[in-house]
Amino acid sequence: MNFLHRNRWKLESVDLFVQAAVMHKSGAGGERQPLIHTREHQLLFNIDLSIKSGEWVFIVGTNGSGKSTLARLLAGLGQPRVSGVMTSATGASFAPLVTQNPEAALVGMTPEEDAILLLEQLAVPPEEMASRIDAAMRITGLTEWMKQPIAQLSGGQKQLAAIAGCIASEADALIVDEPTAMLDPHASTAVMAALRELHRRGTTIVWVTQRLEELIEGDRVVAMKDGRITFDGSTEHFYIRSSKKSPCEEAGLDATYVVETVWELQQSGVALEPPMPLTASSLAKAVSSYAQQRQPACP
Amino acid sequence: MRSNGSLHVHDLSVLVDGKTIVNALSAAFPAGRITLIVGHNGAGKSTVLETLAGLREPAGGIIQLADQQLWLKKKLNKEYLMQIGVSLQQSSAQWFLSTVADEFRYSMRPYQLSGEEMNARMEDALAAVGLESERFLERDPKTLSGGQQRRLSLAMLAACQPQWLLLDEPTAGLDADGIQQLCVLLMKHRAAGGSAIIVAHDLEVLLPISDAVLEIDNGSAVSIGIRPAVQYAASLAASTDSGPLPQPLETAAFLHQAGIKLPASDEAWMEPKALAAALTQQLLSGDHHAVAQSGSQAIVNPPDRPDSITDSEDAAVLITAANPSIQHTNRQAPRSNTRVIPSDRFDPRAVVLSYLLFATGILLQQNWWGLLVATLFASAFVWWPLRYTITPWRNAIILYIRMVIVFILFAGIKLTSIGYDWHPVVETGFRLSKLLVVMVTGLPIAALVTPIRLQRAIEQSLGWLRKIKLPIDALALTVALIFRFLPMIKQEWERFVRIAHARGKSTTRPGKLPARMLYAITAPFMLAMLRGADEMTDALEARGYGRMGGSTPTRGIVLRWSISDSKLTVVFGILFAILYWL
Repeated sequence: MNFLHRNRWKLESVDLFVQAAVMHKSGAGGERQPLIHTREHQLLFNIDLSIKSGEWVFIVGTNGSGKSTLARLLAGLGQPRVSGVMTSATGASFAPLVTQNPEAALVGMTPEEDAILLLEQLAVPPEEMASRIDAAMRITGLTEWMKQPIAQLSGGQKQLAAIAGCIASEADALIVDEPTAMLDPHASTAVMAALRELHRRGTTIVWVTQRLEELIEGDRVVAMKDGRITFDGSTEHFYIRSSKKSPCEEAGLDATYVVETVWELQQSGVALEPPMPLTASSLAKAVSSYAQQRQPACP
Repeated sequence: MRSNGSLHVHDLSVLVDGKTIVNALSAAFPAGRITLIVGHNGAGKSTVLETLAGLREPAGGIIQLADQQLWLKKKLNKEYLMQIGVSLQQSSAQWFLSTVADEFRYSMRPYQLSGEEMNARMEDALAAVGLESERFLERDPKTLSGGQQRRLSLAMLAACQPQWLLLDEPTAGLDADGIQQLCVLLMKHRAAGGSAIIVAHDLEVLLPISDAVLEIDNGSAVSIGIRPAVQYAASLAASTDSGPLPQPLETAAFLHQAGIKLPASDEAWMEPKALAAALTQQLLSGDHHAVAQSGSQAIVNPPDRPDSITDSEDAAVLITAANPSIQHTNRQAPRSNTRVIPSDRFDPRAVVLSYLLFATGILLQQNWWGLLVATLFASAFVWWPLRYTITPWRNAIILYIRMVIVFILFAGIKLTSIGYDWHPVVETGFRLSKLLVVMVTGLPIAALVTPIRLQRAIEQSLGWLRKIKLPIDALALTVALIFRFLPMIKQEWERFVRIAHARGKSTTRPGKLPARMLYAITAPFMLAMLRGADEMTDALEARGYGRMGGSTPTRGIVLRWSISDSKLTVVFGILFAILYWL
């Protein structure tokens, strides 16, 4: 399928500017009269990024690194001034973006009603709605809850309800901005599982996060700092300390417990295979296979 | 003057909007320790914390810090309040003064410090969270970035130097640096003899620095109440159904499964460095017996209780909290099992028609006997089956009844010749009572009809108005959005009142605000509402609203009159007929 090799988004040396209000305290006199005017701020610098259809990409970075700005740019939101070239795949639908706070994004009184309202706005024929919504609720595991008042759902279920509407709209790509920031570990796992399933069915997923535990082996990571992309590659490479600091540390992020442990092991001369396990289970596997390999050497 | 006692809670229950959120909770938070409150979303953690801070009035139970009760009759105890400092969720949007320095002074005012002392504390507190005082003291707090605002609210707490810190999800929204500062601040606080109670999801950061854990489910303490953090970590690691574990515990569990023996640790888990050292020693030393030999208990069963807690007098407190009688009551679920009628069960037209018939029937009544019969009908057919929709309005109904009584009593006063006449009293009383019955009967409509379905009902019955160019369709989203926005306004206002209350150490009942503070929070409240509306339009556009540009929306919800709608209308038609002939 050459569809898979098509770029969903392609950004070439993109800069992004917004107008922001600036307040000045007039200096020496010490008067309290503030001067307000607007100034153009540059939020993104020289972004080169291409995301293929059907790909899964993590965008990571600290507060204020520009990761949310990039996500909004991909979703086509706001009216920033942009220079450079940005192209979306022809025939691609718009890419819905789901933010941290599902409370703000739901209109209906039940997950089902919310999905219907969204589909009505997108001019989906009514006879298609029921089957699309049923499918979306199945992927998000909300079938049992679709007729419950939203006020009675947990935070995780609300987030899933917001995502379910987007799935029912049959968008070919979905952008989520820290969808698990307000959720407990149970609910976070449910959201992650639903999106992994959606990805398996061919949807492009862009996942913006600060929680590095969410990264697993084989994912693609784009790290941002001060409005620039500082790393774009596999999760394994993201943690490799080739010269001195890993790309993860360069971006000002705290590595996970497993990664910290692997780094410590490397320093003490234990080189595991594969060299950079990212999850607890793969670390345990690597450690035990390391032990077994050394066993025959000992009398 | 600082007391060293623990913060006790006994048989605490709290209602929020008529629903039991905290149920028969008993616990004793040890002094000089950091205690976490953990549990799923919606378990009641935040409600517990807010009640401990005097920001919610409990329905029952005792809250006591050392020998000071939190509630003295209907007022809060200042002695208690002065010993605590509370930071609520999203407390970054709590600012209502124009400079950071003014905000500091407002928070410290109840402590009656000298000007110099205040300045010194401000500078120390800002430095502790990595904000330079010369750059920030004169800034408007609302113009700071989200991360800076979170740090500022921490600094504000630190400046007051309360004995007890009560924090709700303090790591939310902080990046790696901010989290580091938070941990340092908490550990310094404990080293100086301070105590903390923290509501937390983020166990990876907070469990290693805390001493004890209270797990809450369904508003009650789980099993044994407060237990040492290490014991909690061990039980998490050992349990099979607790879902995703913090990564360090998951790692230990997988290593254990793989037959790798780790030394016993007296902390919640080993630091990466310690774990790596232990692994290296085994892997490189040739001590493979340990690796090969599985079934080590080292991780799942650490020593029952760490020295840090056992050697203090608080050990007794922890044991009292483990009282089996408490354990017993906890197992009963607090939620009631009323049958809820789904909001799409009836056609809104049937609901509205039935209500109009019944209300007319009530209003037709000319004497007290008729009204009594109507009230009995209302109780049997509406109030009782739909009581879950009426209870949230309890306070408003009581207020209305009081008002009615006042009106009735006044109605009897004769001005022409001083005296009292019973006739108008009975007359007014009768009319207002009829209205009360009509009103209470109408309350469930909101729960039976969602805004969208109501709007569809209008559209389908009044669709012909389109011909005379009335924009019936354009109302669709507007109606729904207004109904969505109303509860948000209520929530946001309550949040603001709570924050102002907490910082001002006001001893009035929660929810009531002294007039001088009312003025202070109005402007920031409006600002927060604007931000909320902004966030909402943004989130809706992000999900696809308004992106189709021009094409007419389709209709996925079309109302159809069903048998149950006919039945409903017939039942209320019969009730109307009876009331009419009465």
